Amino acid sequence: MISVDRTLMSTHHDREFVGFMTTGPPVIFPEKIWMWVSAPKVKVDGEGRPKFASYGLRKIEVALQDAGFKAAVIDPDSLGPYLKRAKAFLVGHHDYFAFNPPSSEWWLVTGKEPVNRRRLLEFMSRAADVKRRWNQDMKTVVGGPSAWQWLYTPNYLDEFLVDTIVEGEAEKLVVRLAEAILDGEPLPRYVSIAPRDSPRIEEIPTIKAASVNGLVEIMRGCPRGCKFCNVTLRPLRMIPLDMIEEELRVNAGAGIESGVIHSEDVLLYGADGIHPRPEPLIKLHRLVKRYYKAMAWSHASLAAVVAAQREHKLITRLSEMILGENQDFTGFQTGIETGSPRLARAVMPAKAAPYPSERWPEIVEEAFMILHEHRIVPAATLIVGLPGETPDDVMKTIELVERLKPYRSMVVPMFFVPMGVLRREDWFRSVNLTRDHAELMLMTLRHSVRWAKDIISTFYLRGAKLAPVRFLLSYFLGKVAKFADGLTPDQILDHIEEAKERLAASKAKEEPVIRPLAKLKAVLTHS
Amino acid sequence: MPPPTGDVEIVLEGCPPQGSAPKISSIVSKWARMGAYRFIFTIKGARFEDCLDDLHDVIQSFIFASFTVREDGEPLGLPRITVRSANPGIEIVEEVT
Repeated sequence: MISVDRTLMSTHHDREFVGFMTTGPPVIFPEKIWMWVSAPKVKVDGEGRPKFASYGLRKIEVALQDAGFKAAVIDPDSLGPYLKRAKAFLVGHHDYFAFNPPSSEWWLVTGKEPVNRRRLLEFMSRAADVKRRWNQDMKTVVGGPSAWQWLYTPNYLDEFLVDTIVEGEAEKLVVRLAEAILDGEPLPRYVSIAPRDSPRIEEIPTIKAASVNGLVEIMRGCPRGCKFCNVTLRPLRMIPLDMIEEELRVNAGAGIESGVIHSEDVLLYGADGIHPRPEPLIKLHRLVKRYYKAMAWSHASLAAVVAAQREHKLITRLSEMILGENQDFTGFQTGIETGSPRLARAVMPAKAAPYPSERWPEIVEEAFMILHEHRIVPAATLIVGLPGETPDDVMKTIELVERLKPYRSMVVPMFFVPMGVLRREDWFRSVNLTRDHAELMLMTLRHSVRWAKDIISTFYLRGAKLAPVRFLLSYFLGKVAKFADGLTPDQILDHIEEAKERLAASKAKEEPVIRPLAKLKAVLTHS
Repeated sequence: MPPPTGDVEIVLEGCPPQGSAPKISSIVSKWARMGAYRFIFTIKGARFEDCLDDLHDVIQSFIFASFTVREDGEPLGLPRITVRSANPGIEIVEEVT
């Protein structure tokens, strides 16, 4: 049985970015409405299998099925009967305890526990209770990109009866674990998979059931070597077009008309080093558009945007392929991280390549201009408080954000939190913001709210079906805009200090693990 | 002497004493330079959760390597490093079988 809590088992109204709301606590709206907007329930079949599930869970599901195991992704609301008899309960998540950005930012800024964490704790607590009472032999295995967070919360390993933590690309390992479980062998408590043991292309299975928002992986790894990112250590692998097509066919067969192609840097698919090449990218986009009416990239680098356009007019050519009758904009996630060439050279020396790090701010601005002209919306991150950051670095980032004002985009600051402090209950005290940081946060808030209102009303949530979501999100953004209008950097600093105090006070109480006994009884009664 | 494969077993006799992570990491580094990249920790007489204070620094520091941590279990027949508490600090015994 493979599952995850509702915040990840949802199509987010077929809008990937709406899913980001689950990384914050419910504000302005009550949690029920917040969840309905950000993570509505997904359709399930008679056996509790969701019509759409996270891509990572689908990969694990198919790896086990191909090896002959009876394995399936199960919706969190349908776990009851399975928990009492399953041999193994596998959970995959990309931010178990809300330690990753942006969850950690919202947690710190509001002083309230993000909804993804609340839901995960509730989900794990419910499963552990059933295991404790009826199925003590069931093995609980946790994995996914944020599996490392369990090492920082050993109390939850105990509380939720977790047997094994798996870090890394697990398609091969999960089969060995499943064999060990069925053979009654003792499981390791922790396994991490070295980059050189990552599955080769031919060892990566293709999904057999539909993924959330039609996500299909086109590449693994990244050649840019940024110091704050571990994806860069994995071997670079291009998924061949025939494998991509198999997955597109599965998703299209499930009725998906709009999907995301996933890579750390989509424009490097088939690239010559870090120089994008037209032929593979055009073939890829032509293939995707044969199956999906609308498409988006998960991530791309801003340097690749500039190189693609300067060298081959490729952004123009690709946008002509993507946009048309069924789609009038697209978007992706990207990293600016800093506006300081000095800091860029120190922590992400190849981020600007093939251009020198000294030109990084100009590359960012040029990329934003290119994207704006082609109706492609970047959602960009900044990292605040990187090791070695000076006040001058922050000023350069502020100057860059100022220059990005005319371009349709989202810009979100993220706090650098050293991993070592996450084991401390008062980890949030390690985030010490200056007035310049607060000014930067205020600029990005105003920038993002202004453009989010434009994006929602112009492109993102059009149509009668999405009218209630559009109304609620517009209402929410209106409130945030009003709040941001009167805000000063000093007020931000005061607000964050107050939030830290609230967090400290809540930590002093019992951990906020919810034990919904009434719900648990209901689940068990139905099972 | 280089290990015969990339695999090495590290036996922890109890949780590593507080502050021992740098010493264990330096042993891992040394064996990694000799070609090891899969490190299998066997914790004897203690629970994984209880050893994380120092152990997590080791298993999260070598991103090129894979780590497996098990509680007890038979010897694996691999090159073996045994780590035990000593007064003061820790004692480390390296054996290439």
